[in-house]
Amino acid sequence: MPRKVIIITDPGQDQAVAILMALAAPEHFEILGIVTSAGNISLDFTQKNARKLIELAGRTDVPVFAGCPRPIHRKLVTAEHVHGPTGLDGSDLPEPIVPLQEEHGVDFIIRTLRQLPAGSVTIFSESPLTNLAMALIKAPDIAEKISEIVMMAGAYFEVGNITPSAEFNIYVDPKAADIVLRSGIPMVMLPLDVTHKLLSTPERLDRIAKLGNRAGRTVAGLLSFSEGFDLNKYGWEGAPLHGPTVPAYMIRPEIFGGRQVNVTVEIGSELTLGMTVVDYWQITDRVRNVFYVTEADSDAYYQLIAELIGRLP
Amino acid sequence: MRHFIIDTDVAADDALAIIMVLQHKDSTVHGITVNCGNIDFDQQVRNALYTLELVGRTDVSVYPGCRMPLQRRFRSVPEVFGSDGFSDAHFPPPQAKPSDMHAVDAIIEAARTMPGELEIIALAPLTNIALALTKAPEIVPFIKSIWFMGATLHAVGNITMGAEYNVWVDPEAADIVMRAGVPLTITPWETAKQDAICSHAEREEIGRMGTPVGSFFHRITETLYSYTQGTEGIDGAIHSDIIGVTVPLFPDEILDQADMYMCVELGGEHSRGITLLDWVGLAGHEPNVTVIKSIDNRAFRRHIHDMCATS
Repeated sequence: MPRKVIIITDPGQDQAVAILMALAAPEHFEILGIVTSAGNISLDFTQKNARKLIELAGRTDVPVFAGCPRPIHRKLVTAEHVHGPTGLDGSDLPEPIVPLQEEHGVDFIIRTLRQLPAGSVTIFSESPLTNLAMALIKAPDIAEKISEIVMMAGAYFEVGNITPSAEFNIYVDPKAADIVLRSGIPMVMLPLDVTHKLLSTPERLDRIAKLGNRAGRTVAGLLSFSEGFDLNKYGWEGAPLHGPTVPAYMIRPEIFGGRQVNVTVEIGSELTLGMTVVDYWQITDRVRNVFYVTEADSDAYYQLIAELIGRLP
Repeated sequence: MRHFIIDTDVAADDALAIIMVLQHKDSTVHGITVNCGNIDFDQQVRNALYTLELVGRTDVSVYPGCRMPLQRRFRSVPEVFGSDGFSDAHFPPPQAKPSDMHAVDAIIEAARTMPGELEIIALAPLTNIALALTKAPEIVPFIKSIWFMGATLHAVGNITMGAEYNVWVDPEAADIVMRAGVPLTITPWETAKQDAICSHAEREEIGRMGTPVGSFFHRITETLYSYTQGTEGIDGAIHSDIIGVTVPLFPDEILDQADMYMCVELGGEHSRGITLLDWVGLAGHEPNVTVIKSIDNRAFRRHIHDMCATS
C-alpha cells in the first residue's frame, strides 16, 4: 500500500530530485498534493518549478498549491547564491502549462487532513516549515491526522550551512520549526549530519546523466549547477545531496541509521537563531520527539535515486 | 459608512464593546472573529453568539479563529471575568451557530472585498490577524486601519509586571502586526486604567435601568468589578475593551495621542511580551503606531450609559 503523503517543498535543485523520485514511485507514494513554500527562492518560482517537475514526470494528476509567500515571523531569506535565480538553473524545462491550484496551500493541508482518518498522512517536507506550522496553528485538530513528518532539516554535528550554526530550512522560519517540533507528532529529521555523507561524486552524477532519459539528463544538469557552490565551499569530491533523503528514507529506512532524541530549535538568540539543539547523548529528560538520522549507505542511496529517476520519461 | 471586523476573545467587556459597535449607526460590522484569550475558546464563541442574539443581530457572523497563540502556550483569565466570561451567569446556549469559515479567512476575504475600507478592531491577542497577514500578505494595503486595545505606555502590566495581556498571550503575533505596515492605533492599558473606569455606583445605576442591555451589563460585569477592586484598588472597573471601541467610533473623545515607534520584547526572562515606546527618539525608526494617551472619561461613561439605555 502506498503511503498517503503531502509534499511541502521549495524546489530548488535537490528538492526537485526528491519530488521526481516521489513522482516516479507510485507504489510507495500516493501524493495528495504538493504545497510550495517560499525558501530557496521566492514562492513565484517554487510553485512554477513544482509544476515544471510534474510535467517532466508526466504526473500532472498531482495538484500543486502555493502556500505562504513568507515565513511566519521574519523576512524571507533565500539562497539564490546556491540555487541560481530561478531555482532550477542547470535545466531547460519549459514554462509549465498545468495550472496552479487556486486553494491556498495551508487550506489544502487542513481540508485534506480533515477528510482522512487519524494517523493516515505522512508529511514529506523539503523546505522551511511555514505552511505546516500555519496549518497546525490555524487548525490544531489536524495534528492527529498526521502519522509522521519526515523532513530534511536541521544539523547538529555538522552545524550550519546558512549561518555558522543553522541549517537553511530551519533558519528561514525558526518559529515554524519550533511549532512543528513541539507538536507531538512523530518526526524523522534528515539533517546535514547525514546529507554531508551523501556526496554527489562525478561518477554518481555521470551515472544519472547516462540513464538515457530526459529526467536523468535534467537531474544531472540541475545537480551539476547547484553543486558548484558546495564544491567551492567544502572542497569535497561531491556536494551533499539533501532533498532525496526524504523519499529514500521512506522507501528504504534500513539504509539509514539514527536515534530517538529530543530536538529543540533556538528562536531567541540573534547569534544562533535557527540552531537545532539535539540532545544526542540524552543529557536531559526532554521528550524524545525526533528520530534523528546521522548515518546512511551512500551507495544504496545513489542507486535508489538512479533507479527511480530512470523510470521517468 | 465604516466597515468593521471585531476580533475578540469574548468575555464580559468584549461583549459590551461588540454591542457598542453594533449600535453605532454609521458602522457596519462584517463579522466577529474569535481569538484565543480570556476564557475557554468554545465558550468565547458561544458568548459572541449569545450577545448577538440578545441584541437581535444574528445576521452578523461569528468566525471561530485560532485556539492557541503562535507559541502555543498561554493562560486564560477566568479569575477576571468568571469561568464563562460572564460572571458565571451560565446563560442558556445560543441557538445560532458559528460560521464554518475560519476567522483568518474571514479577515482575508473582508480585506479583499472591501479594499481600502476594512477597519479591524482588535480586542484580543493578535493571532488571527497575524496569521491573515502571513497567509496573504497582499492584503496589507487593503486594510484601512487596525485599532488595537493592548500594550502599555510605560510597562505597567496586568498579567506580568510589565506585560499587558493581549500582547503577552501572543507577542510574536503582536510583533507581526506592529511591523506589517498597516495603519495601527493602539489604546494601551494605562490609558484604559486612567480613562475607562466606571464606578460601582454607575454599574448599579445601569442595572436599575431595566433595559435588556443594562441588565446584561450589570449581570455579566459582576466578577470584573470585584476582581478589579481587589487587584487595582479602585472603586469600579476598567473597561478596556469598551475604550478599545470608543476610540475608533468616537474619535472626538480622544484628548491626547501621538505617533510613535513601538516594538515588543519576544525574549527575556522577565520581559517577554513587554512593549517599548520610543519616548525620546533613541530607536531611529519612523513611527509605526498612533498611541492613545488619554480620552475624555466623562464622555466615555456617557457612551456606556447611552448604550445601556438603548432599548
